[in-house]
Amino acid sequence: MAGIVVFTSMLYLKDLGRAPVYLGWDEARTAMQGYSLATTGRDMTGHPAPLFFHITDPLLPNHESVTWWQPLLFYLTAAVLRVAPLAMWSVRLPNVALAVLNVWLAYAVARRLFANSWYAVLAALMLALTPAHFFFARLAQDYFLPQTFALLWLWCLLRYLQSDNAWLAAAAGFILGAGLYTHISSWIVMPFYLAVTNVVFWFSGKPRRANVALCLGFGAALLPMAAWLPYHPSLLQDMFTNYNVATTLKLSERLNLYWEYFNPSYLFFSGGADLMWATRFAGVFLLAIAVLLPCGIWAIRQRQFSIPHALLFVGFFFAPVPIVATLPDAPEYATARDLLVIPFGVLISVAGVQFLLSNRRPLGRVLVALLLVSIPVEFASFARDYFGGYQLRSAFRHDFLNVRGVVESVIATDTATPVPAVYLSDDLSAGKVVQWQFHLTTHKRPDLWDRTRYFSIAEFKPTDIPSGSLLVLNIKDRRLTDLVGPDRCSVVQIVDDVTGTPAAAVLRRN
Amino acid sequence: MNGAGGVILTSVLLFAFALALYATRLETRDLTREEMEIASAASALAANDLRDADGRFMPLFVRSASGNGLPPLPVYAAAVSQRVWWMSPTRIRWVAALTGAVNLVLLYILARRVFDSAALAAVASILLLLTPAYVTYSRSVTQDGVWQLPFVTAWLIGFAAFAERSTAPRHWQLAAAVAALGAAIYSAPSAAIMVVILLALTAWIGWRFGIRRNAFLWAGVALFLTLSPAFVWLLRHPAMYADTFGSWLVHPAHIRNPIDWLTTLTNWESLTVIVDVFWDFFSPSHLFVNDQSPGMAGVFLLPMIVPMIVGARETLRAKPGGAGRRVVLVIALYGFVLAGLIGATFKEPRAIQRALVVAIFGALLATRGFESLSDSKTFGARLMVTVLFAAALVQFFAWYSHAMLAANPT
Repeated sequence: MAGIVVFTSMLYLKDLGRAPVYLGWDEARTAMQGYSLATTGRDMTGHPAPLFFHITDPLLPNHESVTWWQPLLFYLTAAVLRVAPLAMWSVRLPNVALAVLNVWLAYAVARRLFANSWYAVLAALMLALTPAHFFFARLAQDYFLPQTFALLWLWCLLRYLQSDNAWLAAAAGFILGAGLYTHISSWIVMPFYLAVTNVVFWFSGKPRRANVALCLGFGAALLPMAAWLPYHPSLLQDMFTNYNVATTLKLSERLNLYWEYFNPSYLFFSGGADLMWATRFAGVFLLAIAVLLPCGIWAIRQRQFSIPHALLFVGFFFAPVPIVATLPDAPEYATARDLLVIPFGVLISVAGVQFLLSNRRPLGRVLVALLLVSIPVEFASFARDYFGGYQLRSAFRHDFLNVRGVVESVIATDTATPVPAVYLSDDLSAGKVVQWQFHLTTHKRPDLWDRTRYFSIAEFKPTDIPSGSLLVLNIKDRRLTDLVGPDRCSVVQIVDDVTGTPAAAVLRRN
Repeated sequence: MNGAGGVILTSVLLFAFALALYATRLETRDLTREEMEIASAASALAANDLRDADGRFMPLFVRSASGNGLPPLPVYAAAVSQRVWWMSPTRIRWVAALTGAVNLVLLYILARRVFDSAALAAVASILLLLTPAYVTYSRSVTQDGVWQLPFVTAWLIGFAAFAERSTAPRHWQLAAAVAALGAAIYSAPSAAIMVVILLALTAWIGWRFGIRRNAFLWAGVALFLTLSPAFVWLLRHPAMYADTFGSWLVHPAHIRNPIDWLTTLTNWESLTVIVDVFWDFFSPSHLFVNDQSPGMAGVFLLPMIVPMIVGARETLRAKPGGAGRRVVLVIALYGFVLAGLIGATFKEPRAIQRALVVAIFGALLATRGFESLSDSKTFGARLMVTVLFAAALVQFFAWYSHAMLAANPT
């Protein structure tokens, strides 16, 4: 097992600062919030050690926003940045560490589910080689975090069912409560798991003190939130507004959405439509799981049905429910929001392997051998694409402006001739501004951040902008030519992205 | 009333009721573009002494004015209907209504054999009668739709009859069944792929139920004879292949280069789309709850979801019963799943008109479900049967009055 942990670490750490090729805007937020916490003990808006982070535009003082993010990843990033420099690899490190922990947890959970410890090793390996697990572990986004808490909860619960130690019930409750601070979807998932755990205790004939310990553990983790919420009464309303939660029935749409999250085309072939969240040449799982998963479902349903195994079903089939329940923007095939399907899917698939191997016919064993061999083979193909062609295909999704390239261009210009100010087009999102801030910080040019302003292309007046200032805008903006002229601006540089496609224009006010 | 008299009387009543339902106010909506294409091809045939646009006499596959190859059944039937109901173009829809009604009677005969109960046979027929997708295509003359269904039901009747006689099998029954299925290729474009799939299912079920090789030999001969006219006709008119089976089944380029065909078929992106379309076909929002449709009706009425699931579960459990019954129910279950492949191979999402065969299989599975629920003899189960039936009727009339009897949607 130690070998698998080492192998996973090496695999997941490979080229972490280079792939994904750009730091996405969500990642940049994680990086800058973590950096702010690590260096000042405050978030980017200046609040000391907040429980939830108010996401605002750092270029707009007192910016009104209804966006709040969960804290855990920010604090983990801050912990890393206390000892490591701010860089793409360092802000991605926390999720990689959690991914390695997930692999170990998959082993620990599988040890309690399957008689033979080799199945536990297999579960760990299969999780490590699951494309979506690998993919999201390398992004500094909070979507990845709930998996670790789900596995921890499952491990504590299984241990409790076998040992009756009330502390484990309390620990399971605490983990679920702490899980609420990982990602917004946990606000539906963790209370559901809590309810499921209570039902499991009841079905298993556990004493009532187990339920009490569980709920106390959960409640203990909620204490910080209970203390924090009265000072931020708008938080819940803001979150509801921000995620555009649907309150109408929309039965057909919800049914269809739930159904599509189990679409084999999504699970085993494409992994989703968004290139930021999938390569489209591999599914959430590898193809072998398309056989092993149904075998596992059948085997558990028909042969090994037990409460621990039923938990795998519950976890697997509940994974898309938060999306279906809330219907946020772009809910289809949002792989990032469906990541809880991974650990449960892998464990069910291991049950499928066990079932096929228990079949005395040689056909079952040959099939298992072929499928297991196909896992590293297909993963190698996926990884080759991930580190190669995918980085080019997906570059525009992570950063359509190539902010890093723009920063390097602006620094070069400023070094040659100091610029009074840098103006970013206000059509660029606040996320772009944070990416800008990140790259300026990594290039140790906070002075340029102090000289950064917004400008509006539609309301551009040459007199408002000091001569010699730089302007940055999207190359695809059709109004670019309106800005160019003898008494307006001239083009300093067209910044290409990694594919050589023009991405941004840097202009100088004449 | 039992015996042949009962069957005949019920069949007549079903036929009449179906025709009343399917042929009522057919003229309220204008002909669609697809219907116009068939209607004009039929008119051309009728006007030109049964010659098509290329001057061929009684062509087996008809070329429409827009250059598409059309299967003969809907076109010739429409031509006949235009002779009979010449006064209104929309009256060609009577052909679809008649086909739907005939199939309903065939299903009643099949269900009598499968469930050995007049009541359950009536239930199966009523379930099919009230299936929204079936009603829709029994009221419109589209290229795909209701046309191939009587052939499929006839195949099931023959197969069931053959399977029941395990001691002294009559090979001609299987041969007739396979011939009926093969004849479906003359009914609709999608029938070509459907026939391939259902023939494969026949072979697999036959192997599973221990059918002897002799029977397959007879079936093969019958199939060959049924398909011969198409072979001969296409040999005489090879240019028509590309517009018929070339676009419905295998493209001529792929016949010349099967490796290329295999590569195209197993291409990662192609597989991704095919699997996606296949899975989406079975989405509950397509099959049972479509909030874009009046009464939220899907392909089936929503209450049918319960008996269909129960029926599928009971079929998988393989409870004792005659071989014919088991064969038909197993075909219904696997056929239901495989039907999704028909639309998927065309890469056409939710193409129910191409896979309308699920209406037959769904009605059979739901009837099996109702049978199981009724057999449980508990008050709860019987109440459920009553409530489901009542809910189905309410939903059907809500859907039918808005979707079928209303004028052209704005």
